[in-house]
Amino acid sequence: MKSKILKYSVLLLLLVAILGGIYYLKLSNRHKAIVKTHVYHKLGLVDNTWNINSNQEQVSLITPTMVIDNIYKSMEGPKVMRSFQLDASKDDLVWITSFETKALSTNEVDQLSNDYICHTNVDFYDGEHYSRWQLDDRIGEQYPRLTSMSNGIESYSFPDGFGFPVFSNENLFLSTQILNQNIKTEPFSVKHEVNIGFKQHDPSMKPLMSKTVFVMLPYDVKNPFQGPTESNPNMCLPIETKNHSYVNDEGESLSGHWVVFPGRKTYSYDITQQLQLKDSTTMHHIATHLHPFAETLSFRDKTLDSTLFISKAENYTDKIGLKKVSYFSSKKGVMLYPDHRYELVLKTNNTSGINQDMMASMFVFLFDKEMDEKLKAYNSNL
Amino acid sequence: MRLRVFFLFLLVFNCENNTEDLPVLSFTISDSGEKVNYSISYNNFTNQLGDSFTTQQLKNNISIANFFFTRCPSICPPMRNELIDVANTFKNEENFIIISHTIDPKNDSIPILKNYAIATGIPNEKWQFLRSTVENTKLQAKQFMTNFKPNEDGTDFYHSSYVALIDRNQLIRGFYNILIPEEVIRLKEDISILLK
Repeated sequence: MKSKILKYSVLLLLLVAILGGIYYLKLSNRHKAIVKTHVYHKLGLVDNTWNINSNQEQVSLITPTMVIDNIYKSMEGPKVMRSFQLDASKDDLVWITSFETKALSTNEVDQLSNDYICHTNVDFYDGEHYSRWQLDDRIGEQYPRLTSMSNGIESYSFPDGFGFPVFSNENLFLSTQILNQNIKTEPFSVKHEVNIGFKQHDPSMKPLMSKTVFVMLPYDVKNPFQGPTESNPNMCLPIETKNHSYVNDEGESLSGHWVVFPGRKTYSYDITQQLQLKDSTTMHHIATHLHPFAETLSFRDKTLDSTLFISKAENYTDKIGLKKVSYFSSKKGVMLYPDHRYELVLKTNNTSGINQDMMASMFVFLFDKEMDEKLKAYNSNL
Repeated sequence: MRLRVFFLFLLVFNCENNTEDLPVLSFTISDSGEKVNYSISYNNFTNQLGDSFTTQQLKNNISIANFFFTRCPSICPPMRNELIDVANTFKNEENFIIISHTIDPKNDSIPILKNYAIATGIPNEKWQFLRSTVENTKLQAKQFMTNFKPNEDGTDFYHSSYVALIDRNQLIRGFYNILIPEEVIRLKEDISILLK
């Protein structure tokens, strides 16, 4: 009897293992990376701990180890995420002023190529943040992304005197992902180090609010992967139809992550609705997110037919990757108006001879008049 | 022997999780710019059994709270699964409760909430499904530092996937996006800290 139970148990385990194996093999590169990272960390096969240090002017987060064992295009690689606070032991008002991400060796000292950084996103919890300042109508209005760093634009600072005000024990959220466009060798391990700089409260500081604007292109929801045709030349070929798909007011499906074919191409997208300007204000900082083979991303005032900023992407010539992406930073700022229309214009040049993927976003920082009024009242009580 | 006592002291000292490690997050900045601390309170809420739910029921309990509605097609079903998991993890803790507030009292009647509660398999006393007027629920959401509103197409509501952790003194000690597995782990760790 016992041997029968043992026999069936072994057979059942074998069946589960085979089915599990088939399921795993059918997964996309991205989902395989999620499974592998989870297993590595759960079983402690690689360092699964975060090394977080905070002082008076910076919080530094070094991630658990992430294993690179394959080519990982954008959004495909191993990733880790966690919530954090600048300093949980205090509830002081501070100003976030700078961001930096870099790839490190597992000894947490030696810096590696930033080619291994797909993106590092920093989000805030809009409920906690806005409710604290009695700005409840802003909760849920927009995805609460504070900013993002990515390959080619790994560090930046706001112009002097500007920042994003938070309380030091406020919940922030970090998500960082591996990129590997070129290296096909034995598996190797990488960590990311993310440094967020902040200043103690100073009544002369001016608050910024973050808005994310990005290019989206329509696709045929019935045949999403059949691509542009002669009858529908403006449709894009989405990379996937889940995480970066949106539906506009006309019911049209749009993708923010699409295929670029070999050769040159120009895309434009009206971002007036994404900006949600309620009043005229000044724009002081733009961090751009682009993929390899992008050349420029322009922020344009359509109403005035004028280009306000061109972010230039410098591509490597000997490998796939972005060497540098320029960003906008200005103490004086550029005026934006609620009755103007704005657009992003993206120029790409896919020189690889094969299809590549593309995203084009700008993290736009505007002077936050409403928050400034709240801060004036706060300062009067100091 | 002394050395052993010393190491034992070190071990106990290092393993002790202090509730002070969790910040108190229930404060706002008033219109006049003053920092105002507050504690969570309840008025005019009824649970799935038709009984009144009051502030008194929070006292000496560790609770977690969220906002939902039973016809929610988007984030509520996965949130519910995670909350069932949390409820099962702490099912033997006398002083732990979950509070879910419906944001759709028009459709979520007491009998509907009761059936919804039964389907979770969690005892009523461990998971309170609360109902009040929309206006009162909005005030409650404000206490929990969130809000909700109908989507423009009327098919769904915007509401947050965060849950708030409340201590024995009705102070908010943490916020957690329950749809992210790492956040659920952190939530469970922080509940354990407060239960000690």
